Amino acid sequence: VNQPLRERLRLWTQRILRYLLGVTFIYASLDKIAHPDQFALAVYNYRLLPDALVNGVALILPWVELLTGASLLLGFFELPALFIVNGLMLIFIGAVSFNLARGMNINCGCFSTDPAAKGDLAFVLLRDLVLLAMGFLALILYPRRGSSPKHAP
Amino acid sequence: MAGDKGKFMPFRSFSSQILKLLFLLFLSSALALIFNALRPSGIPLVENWEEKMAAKELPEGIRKVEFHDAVEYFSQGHALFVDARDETFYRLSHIQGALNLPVRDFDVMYPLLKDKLDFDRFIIVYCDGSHCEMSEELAARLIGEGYGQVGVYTGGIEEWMERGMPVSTGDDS
Repeated sequence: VNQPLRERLRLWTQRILRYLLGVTFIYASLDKIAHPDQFALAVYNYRLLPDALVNGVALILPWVELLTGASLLLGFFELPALFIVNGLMLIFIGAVSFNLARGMNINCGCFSTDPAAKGDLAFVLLRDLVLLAMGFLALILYPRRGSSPKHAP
Repeated sequence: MAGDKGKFMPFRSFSSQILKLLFLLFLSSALALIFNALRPSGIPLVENWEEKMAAKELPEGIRKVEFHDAVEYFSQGHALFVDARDETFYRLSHIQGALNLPVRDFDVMYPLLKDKLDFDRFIIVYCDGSHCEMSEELAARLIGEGYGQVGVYTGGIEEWMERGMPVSTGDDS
């Protein structure tokens, strides 16, 4: 069956976005899993969570990123993974904005837990917005049931 | 037609996606906790951060300046406050009269500000709040330059503002 070009373009765009997000999320998880104590400090410095939740979030969040990334790359549980990606990006954007608004120059803990790796929070916010846009696009381009075959030939 | 199956069961498909989402979250949590329990460098699940941060010792040679000391030095005007953060944040708000010496640009900025940094004046360095390393780093750099009296106000701009102490905006250094 000859699929319309538009449909194929849509499928491939969605697929590429999915792979990019998958790789990004897996990459982001690795340093945090390797250094839980330092990532916990980064989480604490955001000043958004009660102390009792800091370590739990610091432990679990990187694994959510890892599994979500793997889901997107391998193409299983793709839709829930996309929802998690968008949800996480919204949370990250909120957390970064909050600290930016307070004039805090914290280590974002996004890709590196090294406390010396302080970047510009405004740049972090911009990067997060781009990732959210990618996640949102991947979600709306997700092949709908009954509208077209799920996989491109 | 391909994909027609399940077309009229949107609710069932929705709830199965929710279940998958919960499963992903559950599996991540389980793996995280198991991995943490097994590894030697695991961290406790709950920690008293308030205590941990308060107990943090400054390196030798750097004096810890508490809020009430900082207020006293501020009102007497004997000490010089130095903001270790980047200029953008310094401009947003800083302790009134503080100099800005971003630790990130120390090599460029220090020679420019050297004249204002009196060797026999007590220098109080600060950054965001109770936990940012910038003030500590800057204090160490200053000690390396030969300053004998360097302290770190660990409460930082955060505590200073919370307690309603005077701040300035823009550039006054």
